[in-house]
Amino acid sequence: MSPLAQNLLAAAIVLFAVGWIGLRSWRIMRGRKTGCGCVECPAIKTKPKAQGVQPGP
Amino acid sequence: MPAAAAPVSLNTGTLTVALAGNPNSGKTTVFNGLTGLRQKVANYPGITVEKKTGRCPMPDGRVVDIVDLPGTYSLVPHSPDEVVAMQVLRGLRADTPLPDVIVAVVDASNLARNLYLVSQLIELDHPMVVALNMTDIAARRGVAVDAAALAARLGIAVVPLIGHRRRGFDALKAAIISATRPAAPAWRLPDPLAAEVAALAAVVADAAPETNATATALRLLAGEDGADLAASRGLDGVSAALAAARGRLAGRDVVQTDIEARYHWIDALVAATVAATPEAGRRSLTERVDAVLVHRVAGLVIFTAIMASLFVTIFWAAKPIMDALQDGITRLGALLIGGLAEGPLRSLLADGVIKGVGSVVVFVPQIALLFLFLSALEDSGYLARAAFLMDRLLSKIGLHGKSFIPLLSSFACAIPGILATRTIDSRRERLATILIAPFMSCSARLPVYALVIGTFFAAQGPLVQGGILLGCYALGIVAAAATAWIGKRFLGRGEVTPFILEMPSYKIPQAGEVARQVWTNTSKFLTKAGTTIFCLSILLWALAYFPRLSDERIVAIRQAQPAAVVPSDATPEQRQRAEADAQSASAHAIASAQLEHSVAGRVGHLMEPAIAPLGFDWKIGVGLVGAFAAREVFVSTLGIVYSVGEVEEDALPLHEALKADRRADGKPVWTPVVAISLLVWFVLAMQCMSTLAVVRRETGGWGWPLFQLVYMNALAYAGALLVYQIGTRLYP
Repeated sequence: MSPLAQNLLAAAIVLFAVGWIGLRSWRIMRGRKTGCGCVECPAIKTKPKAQGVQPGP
Repeated sequence: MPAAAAPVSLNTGTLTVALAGNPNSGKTTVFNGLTGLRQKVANYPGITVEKKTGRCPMPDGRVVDIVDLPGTYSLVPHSPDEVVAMQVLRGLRADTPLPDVIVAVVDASNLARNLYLVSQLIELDHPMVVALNMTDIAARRGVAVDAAALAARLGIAVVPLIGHRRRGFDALKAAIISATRPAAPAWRLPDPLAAEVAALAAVVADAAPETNATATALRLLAGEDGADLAASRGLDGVSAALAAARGRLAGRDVVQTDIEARYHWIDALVAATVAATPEAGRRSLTERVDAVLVHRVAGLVIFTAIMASLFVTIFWAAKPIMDALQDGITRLGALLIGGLAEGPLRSLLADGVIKGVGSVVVFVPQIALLFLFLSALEDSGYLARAAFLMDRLLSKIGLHGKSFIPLLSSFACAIPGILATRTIDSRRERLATILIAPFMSCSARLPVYALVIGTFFAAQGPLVQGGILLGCYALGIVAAAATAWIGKRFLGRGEVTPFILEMPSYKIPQAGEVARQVWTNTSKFLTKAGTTIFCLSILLWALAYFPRLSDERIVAIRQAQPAAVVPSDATPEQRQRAEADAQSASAHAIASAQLEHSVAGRVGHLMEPAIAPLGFDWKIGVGLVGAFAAREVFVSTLGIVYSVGEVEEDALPLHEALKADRRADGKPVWTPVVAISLLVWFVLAMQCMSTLAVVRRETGGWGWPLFQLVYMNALAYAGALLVYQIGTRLYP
């Protein structure tokens, strides 16, 4: 891989990471996510989920 | 005997079924059984603090929404979680429709106490089903409940269940479909009160025919609060009639009279439907074990011994798996960067991703072991005993026994712990618990503890390592207790409310439930490693990699390095080795200068004067800054900093690199005293943005989280300072 391609790819990855952290921080501060990593977050009002649902007649 | 009511049609619209019951009656187990979801259940009360919704397929193909409510002993709420249950059941929440059917989950082994809430649910006059849960435990205790007789007296279906074994759910679903309204309440109030209730009910019925006038009148006379009652009070004539009735009842305790009347009814109901089997007279295994485990002295000794053995095992059992994992990560890293030439992408993958994320992932076995033990203790029913043991100690420092469960949850993560404080009635006690919960060592601290203890106390063996780890957890508890005690002195104790805790029966931990808890928490850790820590590692790598040194500067550093000294009579191999050593020294000097030139290096050096009194150098300082995003990032930051500042071929595993690091004067950066100082910092410091955000939400403003941030970090600084300054004088 050329040095230019390496530079571009590294820059893209860093930008993605910065964007992700920014978005996550914003959502935590807005109370839309706790940031604790829970799959089923106890802090966020849960909505009906599709698991366990069988199609009706 | 009440007349059988007609089934209520469930054919139209989206249907909502609410699960209501006393704490620890198994509502969430029933919820999971109906919906196929996997909400957390535990063998102690107070796990569900917010309503949860799932969907359940019915035998006829229809689907209903099931709402799992926090446990409550009555519909007169005392704590925030009980308010949620009451509001949903009375249809006072805008975000939840009034339930079409109420399933009262009842603990068959404690029927009398559970029927009090049922008596209040009956007054709601909704279609209802009683789920008679834990019939297996009742049978073991010598209690046989005649479900058919109970159903006949209540006028609604009563379905025996063994929730954790998934037995009885088909019958429960069938009962939900054909749910009926309960028979009219059959308990009798004493005459003067009954007459006043009837008179007031007549006024309420005239003004609002759609309400349950008798129940509303009784609630108004009892002085209950609630949005629906406020509306009733405003009706024509109700206020005047209520005032007049209260005047005539002056001196009578309406609430107490009502409770007594309900319990007379409950006693009669239990006498007619519950039979004692031969097992009833025997002292149960639970009682015999409890004689030792909740003993005021032996109980505490056993509790300490259990926790100590847990921590020793974490080090002893996890080491071989961690070593294998470290090998795997190293090989994966080599595979990943194998074909890449020198450059930023190669460094990002090798130093940022592999060293950053890999150095955290390697602690997965210890995290899994911690949760394996905690889940087993939780499922066995032992942790409820621990809460009982702690109540005496907690009350001395101004906390409520109910604080124990939130504090216990905080050992996994402070966020669910802070949410669990919703079970605490008193606002002051709740606030005190929220403020001290982050002192409990959460699982995010474990990688830091494990790295530091595993690196600098490896020679002392697992017993000492486990002891130091236990000390870290104990220090957090002591700091929390001291803070709560100080809070009590300055803020006062406030209203003292009694602590009621049901002791669940001991049971063999269910392998499936324990495995699920271990998986949930381990996958949570891995998810965090793959998202937050991954992105933060990349960001920290960029900060440690850029800006790059200019070519002129690199040449200058290379020229400043002493040339290889080769004796004239050296063999070709000696000559070659000397030149290679000189080249390696030159490359190391460039990598080191590059790191110091980077943003991270400059920030680290800028803050070094502030942290030097704690024994920390600038690299540790960079790690501390990174840890404010998530504590585990401290480990990944060290992984990155020690990797970027090193020549790739000479890179050591992180624990070796830490031991090899030297200050300018040649002394080691890391000593056992520095290690202890750092541990003290991590035990006491508030470094979690997510926790602060949740504290803000739960306390309704930024005041308390900011106080918590300043207080905890000042305490951490003072603690680490004391340890380092005293430690270096004792062990220079």
